[in-house]
Amino acid sequence: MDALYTLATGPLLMFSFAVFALGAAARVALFVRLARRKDLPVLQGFQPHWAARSILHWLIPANVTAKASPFVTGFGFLFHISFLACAVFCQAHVVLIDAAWSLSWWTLPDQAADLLAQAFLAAAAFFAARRLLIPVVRTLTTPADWLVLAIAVAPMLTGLLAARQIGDYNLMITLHALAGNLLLLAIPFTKLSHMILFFVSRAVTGSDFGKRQVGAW
Amino acid sequence: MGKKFGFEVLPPLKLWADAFAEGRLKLKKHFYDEPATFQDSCNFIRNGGYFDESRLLLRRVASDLLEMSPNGNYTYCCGGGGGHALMPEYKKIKLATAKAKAECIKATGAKTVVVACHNCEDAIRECVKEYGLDCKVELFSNYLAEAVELA
Amino acid sequence: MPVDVAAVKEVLAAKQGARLKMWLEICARCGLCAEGCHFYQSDPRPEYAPAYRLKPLMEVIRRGGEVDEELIKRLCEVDYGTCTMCQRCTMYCPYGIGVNVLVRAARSIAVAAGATPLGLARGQANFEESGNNLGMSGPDYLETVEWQLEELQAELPDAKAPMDAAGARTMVTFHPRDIKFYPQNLYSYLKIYNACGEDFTLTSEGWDSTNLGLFSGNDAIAAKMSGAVVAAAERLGVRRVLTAE
Ligand code: HEM
Ligand code: HEM
Ligand code: SF4
Ligand code: SF4
Repeated sequence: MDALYTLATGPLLMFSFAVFALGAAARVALFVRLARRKDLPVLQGFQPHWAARSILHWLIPANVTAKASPFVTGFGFLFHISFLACAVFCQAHVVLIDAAWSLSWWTLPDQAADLLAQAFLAAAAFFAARRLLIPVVRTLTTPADWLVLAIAVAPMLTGLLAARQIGDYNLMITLHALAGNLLLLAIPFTKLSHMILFFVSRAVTGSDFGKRQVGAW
Repeated sequence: MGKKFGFEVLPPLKLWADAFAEGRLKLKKHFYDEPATFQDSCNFIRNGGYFDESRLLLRRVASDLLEMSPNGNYTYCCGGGGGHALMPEYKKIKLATAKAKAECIKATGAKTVVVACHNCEDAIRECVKEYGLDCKVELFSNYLAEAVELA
Repeated sequence: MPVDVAAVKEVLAAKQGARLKMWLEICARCGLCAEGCHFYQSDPRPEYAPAYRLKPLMEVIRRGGEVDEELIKRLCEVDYGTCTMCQRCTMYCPYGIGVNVLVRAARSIAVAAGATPLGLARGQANFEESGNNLGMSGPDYLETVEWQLEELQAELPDAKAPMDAAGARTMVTFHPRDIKFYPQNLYSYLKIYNACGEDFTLTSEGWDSTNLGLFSGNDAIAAKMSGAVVAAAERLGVRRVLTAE
C-alpha cells in the first residue's frame, strides 16, 4: 500500500500531471490545426474582443441560462468552484507541491476545505439526481456521463474521507492519490476536456454571434 | 458565404432602414393604429442582427407596436426554418410545436403579425390558423409599401 | 432503398471539422439547451431537446459510417423533422454549442445516403433545371415584372424596373414565390425602391436567392445556388445585392 502511495504521489503523479498539462495544450493546438484544414472560417472569424466577452458572460452567472435554470446554474458553480478550490488550495496538496517543487501558496483552512468538499458532494448528488429523475436529462445521458461524474467525484470523496479519518486512512489516502491521478489523466481524453475547450468553444461562438451584432451569446 | 466578394450582401430590411434614416424613404407616421407585433426572424434578427433596423421602421408606421416575450435575439423560431416549409412529412410536428409561438402572439393581443421572411410568413399563417388566433399576417414589404409617402 | 455507405463515409470524413469534433465531445448532456428550443417548449418530450439532435450523428461516427437504413431513417426524423436550425438553443448552452452546425452535418449524411426529404429534393431539382426552386421559366418571370410595373405606374407614373442595368448600385433578388404566387410582393418592392430613389436593377438570371441547399445539407447545390447570384452580381458590376425577404 505504501509503495502504491509513493508511486501515486511520485513518478505516476509527474506522469499524470504532464499528460494533463501537455494534453490540455494539445487539445487547443489540435483544434487550431484541424480548423486550418477543415473549418477555416472559424479561424478567419476569430474576434478576440467578442471571444473574451462571451467567455466572461458565461463565467458570471448572470446570463439567460442562470435565469432559465437557476438551480443547475447554482449547483454548477458550486460544483466547479469547490472542486477547483480544494484541488488548488487544500493544505495537504500545497504541502506536497512544496515538497516536490519548493513552491507554495495560500491554503484553505482544513475546516473550509471540509465544507467545500461536502458542498461539492451535494452538488454532485444534485447532478446525479437530475440524470436519474428529469426525463430529458435521463434520455440524453450516456454511460460515459456516469463514468465522468464518478471520475470527478472519486478524489473529492476519498480526500474528504481521508482527512476525516473515516475508514482505513492508509487505504483512503492511497485511493485518493490514485483517483486524483485518474482524473488528471482523464481530462484531455473525455468530455472533461471542456476544462480547456469551454474557452475555445465560447470563443468560437462568441466571435460568430458578436460579428453579426447579436451579442456574444 | 463567408467568402469575400466585390459586393455586399444585405437583406431588404437593412436597405429600407438605411433609406428611411437617410430621409430617402418617406413613411407615413403611425399609419397603422391597429395593435401589431413583429415576428423577429431567425434569419434577419438572431443571425443577421437587424433588430434596431426593424424597430426603427415599425415604430414609425405602427402607433401600437407590441413586443412578444421573448423577442429580439431571443425570439422563438416561427417553425418554418431549416427547410420545414418544404417538408410536408413533418407538418404534424411543426403544427404541434408552433404552440410556444402561438402563445407569444396571443399574449401580445396584436391584431396584425408583421413578418419579415417568407418562411415566417407561411409558418405564422399556419400557426395563427391552427391555434385560432384572431389576427392577420402581413409581409413586412407590403406593410411598409402601404405606408410609403409618395412625393 | 439501398444506402450508399461509401458516399456516407466520404461525407463523414469531410464533415468532421474542428467544431464538430469539439462540440460532440464536450456536450455535457445537461439538457440546459431544452429551454431554448421551441419544439421542447411547445411539447416537452425528451426527444425534442436540442442535444438529442447530436445522437444520430454520434452513432454514425461511432459506426465509422457503416450506416443502415434504420439509422438513416432515425437521423432524418431527428435532424430534419425536429430542428429548424434557428440557433436559439446555442444561446442557452453554457458552451455555446452550435447545434445548427451539427444538424447541418447530420443532414449532409442523409443526403449522401440518398435520403433527402422529397420536398427539398424537388426544390433542388427545379433549381438545377430552371435556376429557381419553384420551377419558373425565364419568360414567366419577365412577364410578371412587366405586369407589376404597369400596375405600379398607375400609382407612380415614373416607376421603373430596370432589368440587367449594368453599373447600378443595388441588385435586387427574389424568392420565386414573390413572382409565382404573390406578385403583390413584387409590386411592394418596386414601389419602395422607386419611392426612395434607389439606383437598382433586377437581373434576368440568378434572381432567386433562396438557398435550399443550405437547409438540406447539400453543399454542392448550396455552392451552385449562391453561385448563380454571385455570377449575376459580377456580370452587372453592382455594389450591393439584396437577398429575398
Ligand atoms: C476550469 C474550467 C471549467 C469550466 C469553465 C467548466 C465549465 C462547465 C460547464 C459550463 C458545464 C456545463 C453546465 C453545468 O452542468 O454546470 C460543466 C459541466 C461539468 N463539469 Fe466543468 N468546467 C471546468 C472544469 C471542470 C473540471 C476540472 C471538472 C472535473 C471535475 C469538471 C467537471 C464537470 C462535470 C462532471 C460536468 C457535468 C455535470 C453534469 O453531470 O451535468 N469541470 N463544466
Ligand atoms: C493528483 C493527485 C492528488 C494527490 C497526491 C492528493 C493528495 C492529498 C493528500 C495527501 C491529502 C491529505 C489527506 C489528509 O488530510 O491526510 C488530500 C486531501 C484532499 N484532497 Fe487531494 N490529492 C490529489 C488530487 C486531488 C484532487 C484532483 C482533488 C479534487 C479536487 C482532491 C481533493 C482533496 C480534498 C477535498 C482533500 C481533503 C481536504 C480536507 O477536507 O481537509 N485531491 N489530497
Ligand atoms: S446545453 Fe449544451 S452542453 Fe448541455 S446538453 Fe445542450 S448542447 Fe449539450
Ligand atoms: S436550432 Fe434546432 S434544436 Fe436548436 S433551438 Fe432551433 S430548432 Fe431547436
